[in-house]
Amino acid sequence: MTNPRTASTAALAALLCLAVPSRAEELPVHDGDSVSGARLYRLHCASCHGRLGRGDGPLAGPLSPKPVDVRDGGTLFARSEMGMLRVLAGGAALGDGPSAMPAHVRGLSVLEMRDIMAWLEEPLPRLDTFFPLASEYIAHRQTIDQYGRERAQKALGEALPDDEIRAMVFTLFKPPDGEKHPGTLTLLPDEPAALFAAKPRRKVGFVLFLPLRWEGTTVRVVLGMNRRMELVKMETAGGGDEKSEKTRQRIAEQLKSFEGSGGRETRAVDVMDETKVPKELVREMQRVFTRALESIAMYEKEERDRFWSDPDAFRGMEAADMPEDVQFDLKNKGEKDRKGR
Amino acid sequence: MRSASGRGRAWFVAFALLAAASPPASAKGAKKRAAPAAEAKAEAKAGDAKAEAKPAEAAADAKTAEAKPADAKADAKTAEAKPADAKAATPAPAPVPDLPERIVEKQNAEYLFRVTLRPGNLKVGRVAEVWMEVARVLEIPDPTTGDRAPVIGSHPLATVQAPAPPAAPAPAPAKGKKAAEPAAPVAPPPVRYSLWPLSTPGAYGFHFTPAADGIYTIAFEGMEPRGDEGEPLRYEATFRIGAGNAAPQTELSQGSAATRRSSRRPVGPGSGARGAEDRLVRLMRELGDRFLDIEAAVETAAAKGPWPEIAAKARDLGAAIAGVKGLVPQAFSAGGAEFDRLAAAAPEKLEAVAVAAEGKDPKPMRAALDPVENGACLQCHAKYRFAVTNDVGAWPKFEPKPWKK
Repeated sequence: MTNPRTASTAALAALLCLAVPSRAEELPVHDGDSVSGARLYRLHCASCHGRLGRGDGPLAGPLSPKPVDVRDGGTLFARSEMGMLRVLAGGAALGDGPSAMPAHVRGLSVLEMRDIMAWLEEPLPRLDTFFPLASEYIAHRQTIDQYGRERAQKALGEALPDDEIRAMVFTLFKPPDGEKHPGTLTLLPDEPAALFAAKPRRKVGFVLFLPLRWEGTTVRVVLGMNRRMELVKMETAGGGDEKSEKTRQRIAEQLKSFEGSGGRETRAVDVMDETKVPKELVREMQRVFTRALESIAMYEKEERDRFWSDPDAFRGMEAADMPEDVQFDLKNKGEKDRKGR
Repeated sequence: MRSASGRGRAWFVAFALLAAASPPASAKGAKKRAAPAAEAKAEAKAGDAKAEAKPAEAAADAKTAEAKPADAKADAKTAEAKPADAKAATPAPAPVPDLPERIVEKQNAEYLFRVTLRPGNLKVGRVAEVWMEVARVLEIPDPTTGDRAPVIGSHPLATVQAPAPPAAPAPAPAKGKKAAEPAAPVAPPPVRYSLWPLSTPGAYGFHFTPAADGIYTIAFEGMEPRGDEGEPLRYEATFRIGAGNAAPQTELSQGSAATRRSSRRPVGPGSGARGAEDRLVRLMRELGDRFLDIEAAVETAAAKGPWPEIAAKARDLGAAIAGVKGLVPQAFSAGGAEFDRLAAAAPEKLEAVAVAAEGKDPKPMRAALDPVENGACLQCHAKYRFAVTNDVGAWPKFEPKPWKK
């Protein structure tokens, strides 16, 4: 016999199950349906970009330039949502340079393009997970210059190969002084006015997606570094094949050991307990860190050039937050100002 | 106006009528007891020789019948027999028909909602396209938009709550122990989507893929920006949409006052269901979906896969690809003969997949599927879809077009 109390509780539970919970505000918002995106990607993109998005599809061979690795956060987050839609819809005509990318405007609707983007971004950590205070970011691909390569060689004991001297650097900023956090992270357009508004004193840190080679597998590691170049948070980006997923999980377990190390002065990573982390992994991490450090140095050089006439842009920053030459310039300028008075 | 005593009399009459209509409590109980006996009689007639229910007892008058041991035995028998009978009697759910689209309407406060679902009957595991058109009802009609103003410049969100899975049967109790109550099914957590503005003013859309049969709850919410007119206004509405076998249960009008007149809608490619797509694009899309179904079936058919189904699907796809003949894209109309030749080559390769499937071995089946994709489909797509080359004669080698090098 059914207990009436149990029945009414079950009915209430069923009602609660049907009702949309009041905590819905806390749910993450999806821009597209990744289940549909996986099917659409397979039908429209995989022949060039490969099944896993690494740019190694069956049609990729003779094409030049090669199709890009679309599962690389450095490529995906460097464009706004609208920018990505433009490339998908218009193909090479709306891309950055010559390529074989066809226009998909007739074969895919806007909602379907968003589904594909949702599937591509699914295994990647979001930029704001590294710096929750950030509200805006700049994406610039940096090429390490000759001096940077010399410093890297000194630190690593070997030169950086040519395919490792370029990296996408994401610089994240908190809202302008006194402004409320908008709740979302937006990409600043590559325009002088927008870039000039991104003052160094608003900077919270950097994020880089770099490959780490270990045990014959390449895994993409995401580094979150603060203004002092310390590793504040590290994650791995998924979406690889079965073998690389296993390696990724093993690396992900070890990454915690490196957090808090690094820095502008030390220029080296270290681990709390050396017995727990394989030496080869520490060596590879040093390589990744050095590459990140020198790429960020290139961004700082670009920033210094942008704000050379505006010392106020660095107001409130401590010496450790700035490169040495900026510290020197600011100190010099202060002395000159005093002498002038 | 009716007096107080008149109202009292009316209540008395109503109560008396109700009392007369309902049988006395004892009679109800007798009816209850007699019902299993009647069932037992029916079963005994059907040939159950062990049934001890006697016809005379079973036919006892409901008012006088009392519980008897034979009746109790018969009850037990029927209780045992029921599950098997139920299995036999439950008809298979009727197949849900394909419906291109379904429009569901609702009015909530001063906002009118019109939700278009594509396909009309949502399928489990297949993407559902949801268009939500939202408009504010105007007290004074507008000469351009009529009796409503579409909500423009909004960023709506949709929260999709999937149904709870069906309750699992309770585990059999151990000897001498009370049967545990089955755990209440828990619905998966809701998923939130941002909607994208579409071509029609006030229309926003998103995709989701239903993962289970049942009624989904979709809650839309957003703010209507009003510029200089005042503070933004909030709008929200919740719809109950069926998926899978429950798809036909979706009610078309889910509000107190559904919209009767529709606003002025532009006629053109943007307003309807993919008006811009031509026949070839639609056909290719269908072929692609069918190919992915076969591929998924091959991947999952590790040991005991549905071999005949895969073989049939592969042959069907081959026949459908043969139907592409003569549909060469307009930009390549000069290469019609080659296009037809490439289309004609695919069925052969799919026949090899079907033969491999009939052999019930997944390994050669996977091997046979590869030439379909990389040999037949891609060879044609390289020239006629992606246009990366002009010559696919030496496939898989090809020379990219000069401007794509």
